[in-house]
Amino acid sequence: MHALRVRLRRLARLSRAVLRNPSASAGLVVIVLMLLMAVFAPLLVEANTPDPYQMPRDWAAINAPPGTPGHPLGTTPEGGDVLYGIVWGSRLSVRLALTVASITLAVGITLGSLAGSIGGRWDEYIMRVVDVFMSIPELILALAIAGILGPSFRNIILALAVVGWTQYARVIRGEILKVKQKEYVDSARIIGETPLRVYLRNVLPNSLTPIIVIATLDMGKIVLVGATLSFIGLAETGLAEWGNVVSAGQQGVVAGRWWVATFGGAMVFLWALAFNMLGDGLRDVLDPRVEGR
Amino acid sequence: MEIREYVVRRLLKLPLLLFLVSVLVFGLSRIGGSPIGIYLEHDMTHEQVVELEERFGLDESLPEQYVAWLGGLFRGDLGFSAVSAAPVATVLPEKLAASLELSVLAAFIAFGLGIGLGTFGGARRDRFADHATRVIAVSGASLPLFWFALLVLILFYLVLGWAPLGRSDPYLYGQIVHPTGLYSVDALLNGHWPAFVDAIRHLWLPALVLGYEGLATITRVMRSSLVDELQEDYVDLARSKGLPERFVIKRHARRNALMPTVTVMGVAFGLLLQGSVVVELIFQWPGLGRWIATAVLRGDQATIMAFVLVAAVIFLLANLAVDVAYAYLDRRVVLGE
Amino acid sequence: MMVTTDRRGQGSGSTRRRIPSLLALLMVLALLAAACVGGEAAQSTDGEGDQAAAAGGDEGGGGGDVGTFVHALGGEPTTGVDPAAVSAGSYGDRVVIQVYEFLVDIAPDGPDLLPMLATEVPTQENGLVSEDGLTYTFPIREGITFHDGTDLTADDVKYSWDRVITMDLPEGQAGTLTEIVESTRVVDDLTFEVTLTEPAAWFLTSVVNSVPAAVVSQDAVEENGGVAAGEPNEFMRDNAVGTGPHQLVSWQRNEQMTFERFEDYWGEPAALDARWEVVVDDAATVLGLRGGDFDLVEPVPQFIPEVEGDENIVIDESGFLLEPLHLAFNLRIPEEAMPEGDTIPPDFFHDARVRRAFNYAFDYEAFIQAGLGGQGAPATYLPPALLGYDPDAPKYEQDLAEAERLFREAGWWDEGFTVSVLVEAGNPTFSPVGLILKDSLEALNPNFNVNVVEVAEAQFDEAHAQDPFEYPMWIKNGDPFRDPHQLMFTYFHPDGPWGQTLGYREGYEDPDQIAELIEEAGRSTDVEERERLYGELLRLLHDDPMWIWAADEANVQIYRDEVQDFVYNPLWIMPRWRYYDKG
Repeated sequence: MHALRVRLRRLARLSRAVLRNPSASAGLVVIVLMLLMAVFAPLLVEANTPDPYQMPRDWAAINAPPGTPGHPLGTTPEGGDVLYGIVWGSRLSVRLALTVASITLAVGITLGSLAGSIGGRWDEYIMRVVDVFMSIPELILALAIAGILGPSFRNIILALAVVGWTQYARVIRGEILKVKQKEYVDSARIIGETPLRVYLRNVLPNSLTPIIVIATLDMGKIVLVGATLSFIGLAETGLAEWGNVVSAGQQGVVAGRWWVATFGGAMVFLWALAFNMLGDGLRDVLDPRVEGR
Repeated sequence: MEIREYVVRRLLKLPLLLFLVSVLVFGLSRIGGSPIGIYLEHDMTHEQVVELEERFGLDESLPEQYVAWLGGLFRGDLGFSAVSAAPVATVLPEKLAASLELSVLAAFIAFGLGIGLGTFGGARRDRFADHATRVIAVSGASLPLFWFALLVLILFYLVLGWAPLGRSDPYLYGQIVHPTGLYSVDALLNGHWPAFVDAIRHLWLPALVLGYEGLATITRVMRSSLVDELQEDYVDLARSKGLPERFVIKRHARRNALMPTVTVMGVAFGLLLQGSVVVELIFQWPGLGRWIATAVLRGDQATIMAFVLVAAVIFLLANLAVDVAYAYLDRRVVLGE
Repeated sequence: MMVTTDRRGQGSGSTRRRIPSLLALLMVLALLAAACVGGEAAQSTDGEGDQAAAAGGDEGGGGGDVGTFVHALGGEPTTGVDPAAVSAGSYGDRVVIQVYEFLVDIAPDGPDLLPMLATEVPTQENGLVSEDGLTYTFPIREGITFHDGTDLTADDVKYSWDRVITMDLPEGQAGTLTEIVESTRVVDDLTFEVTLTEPAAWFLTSVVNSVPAAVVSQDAVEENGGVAAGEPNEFMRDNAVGTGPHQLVSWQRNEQMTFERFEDYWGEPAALDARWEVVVDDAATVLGLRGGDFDLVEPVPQFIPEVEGDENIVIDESGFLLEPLHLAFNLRIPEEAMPEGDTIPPDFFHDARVRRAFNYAFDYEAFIQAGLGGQGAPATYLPPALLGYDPDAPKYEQDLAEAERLFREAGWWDEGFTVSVLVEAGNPTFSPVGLILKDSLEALNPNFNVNVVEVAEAQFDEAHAQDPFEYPMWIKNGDPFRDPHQLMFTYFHPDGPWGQTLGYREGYEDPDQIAELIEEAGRSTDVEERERLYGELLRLLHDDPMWIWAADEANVQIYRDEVQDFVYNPLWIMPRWRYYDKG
């Protein structure tokens, strides 16, 4: 267990380094606050029935400005409460980011590992598929997928998941290839360690750093791209989701009804900014060589 | 590995890649319901629907349809765009030219300003200028482009009246001949000064907004690679020799720092392609981005398919160009393949 | 491609200088690529055929000194501008009325007809309509030329009508002609005769003045592909050779269509050239209007609050639109296709009490405010502009107590239900109908659930074209029929198109009575009798509703105050540029 203790101490050291970085810690604070808002949403704003993820609509108070009784941040053209959309929207953003990130990480790491470890034909095929997906700019492909499947939150998740796994596959595969070239793999084999153990002991930990950085930045990007898809018109109406709120408020900006689009857009911006700052900080500390996005 | 060999290898991989992309695109289009949905009307009888399906070749099996589509592509028949009521192949070049004009200017802004800003900040590491630069860089990556574009448009169009909507004044546009399809270039070729001014008047703001994301990326990478470069031994050596800081940066550090930056250009280009969807929509720019957005909203599958394919081709070529440029620059590149 | 580098590799001195020049090379390559590509663009920009002229702008006849009327709309013709190939209510429809003409026209200020390509409107009094009401004779005006310079004769009229019927395109409206026209005949160069299958009071308004009856140039069509059954004509799809005061000069897809005033127009020439700007984004539309780039915009009720304060913009309300904005009940839901999660039985809407309960639950006032920006009024079963409209006919108002009573009586109150409604996504007028129904019902009883299913336009059209329809309800606009018979027959007759698809026979209490009333009113030529019959129908349909008729949409036109002589009749499909000038 000595190895474990070494690892933990290194982890602690890294964490302290990250926290010392002002922008990274600022980002972390914002993220924690948003997570708290998501977790405690029902306490902050009473859940809507029957579906808590639909903004409660007050048809008697459409386009209400901030400060209207009952609607501190105003309402959308359908009477949707902006504050509700912001607070419960954080849940959906967390769900969006986590779901897409988990799928893309799982698929990307699996396929990348297969390609790197087994090599040969598998490597060829899998990397071909990766190249195909990387040939098309992300937003365009996500747009096409979500557009063809139809406007809905689930389809946005699907589209972003389909589009986002390739970067992880590349990274993992690269790391595996690097490790394969190192000598201690051969000596480990001589000792009799199975490839799996080599993989777990050497490959994964090393590739963890670039992946953590990319994943952190990705969490921000996922919500940003999701909001863009909503803006273009692929959101379902009435959903308490940030991008959807912006989409609902876009029309009114021209008329001076700034609040819906501004608050919705600000949340997306804050989220992406926080993750970008944290990601940059992590990268500075962990591995300055990874250019990422 | 020799540059030539590298380029040839990359070029050889293109056809296979494009073939696979076409399969992906085709499969995509057949997932989401009838490709001719946009032509259907409620008062059509079942026979009429069947007639339409036959006209578009949908009564054949999937592989047959794919082959027919592919064959059409080679003949230059990219399908019929319902949104534009014209063959895709007819509409595409116009849209491409419009988007290209916007993207090239945006690219100049992103790369030119980005390198400049990145150098500016990186040379003054951790001082105020650096932090300011970093703020621009990070905000560009976090700012929702549609939000930014909308606010910019309101400020400059409605409030200040400095920037017009769309691409051109139709009267001036109609006065010149269009050999390239790029309004500004054509105006110059025609020697028509008012038209050129008109073109630039319409171009500058959307190009600025479009270039912002790329600008942020380039700035960030340029800055960090310059910072790294300035820590190299040869820089200390130059400094100890008494050479002025400016000289050191300009002559050596910046040039080296440019190399990692070049690798990001491919990414930045992708950002431009994507950003154009939103920017063109908001600024009324008649390019590919707006066209695809309309097609997606209305469900015009033929247009979506053609567009995704074209986007892939452009993106692949652009990345190839960047990679070749990079490999050309530094022979000691270790290729990750 | 991720390239990992040895950062110390600085390369030789000469490589460093190559970076800027390489970048420049890339840029030049990009421009060259565009040049090759764009060169074709300059040629393909213009429409094919005789009408081609330089792209955009004011050309010809004193290029530049005639102003241009700029109309911003949210789309453009999907199937082209051929009168034989455009669907009712589509954008193609609207181009047709600007560049083509008909034998008779509808006056700007009323339902009255005016002679157009014909010199007189046929009536029984002037003898141009036969005693039995089956034969109409149209004397054709002399000296009218088409945009291509050829002369208009009765042959062109017959040719135009025949080609629509021969081509019989699914995307066209051939049915409008074939359902009532028995035969057409050219009596002489300037006389055209039509024989009907049965007398129809609505023939002139709804058929002669309809888009498929637009008169095209026989010479132009014959020179460019002719007529082929079941096949669209490419030339006519992209070009227009009509007699109208505007001619289509160029079409840049997804961008704009430019029209020039026709100098040899037979009547009073238009004052301005025209341009149809395709503006997809609503915010951009409003900005363009306020910034002065657009003279007239497509009226979207949501625009009104945004331009209300602007003194340069006129908000002109007169009358109501023709398109029925409604939610339809499906009485013929196929069991296997019931949407997931829906708990209703397929015969849920057979019970008139349920349908009435839905009507009483809906919050009409909220919809008029939220969906129409306040520009609307409660509706009866006929739009106010049509013959037979009765302002005193019964209208639904939200009455939650009555809704509850009806649900209890029908047995659904305790059990509750979940039901879906299909609607087109991204439409600011349709969505609120679904959402308000949802909120109204769910607030009434927590056991009631409504799923508002939004899909892209193409998917909605596809679902809507299915027979049987696979959702319990849909929300959309109807067609802008100009005569009550067509509206009643298409939408409410138990054996009419929708009656059959949606299974009305199963739901009407007395389907035959309704059928008879509709048929009688369609046959009669006596205006008073028709009004009486329709009055009765309005009452019957109210008590046995097959729709929730959400509201009558006010006809609000939004334009800049430089526009002079603005006039619009909702019986037209859209504002006609020939009448407008700018000061």
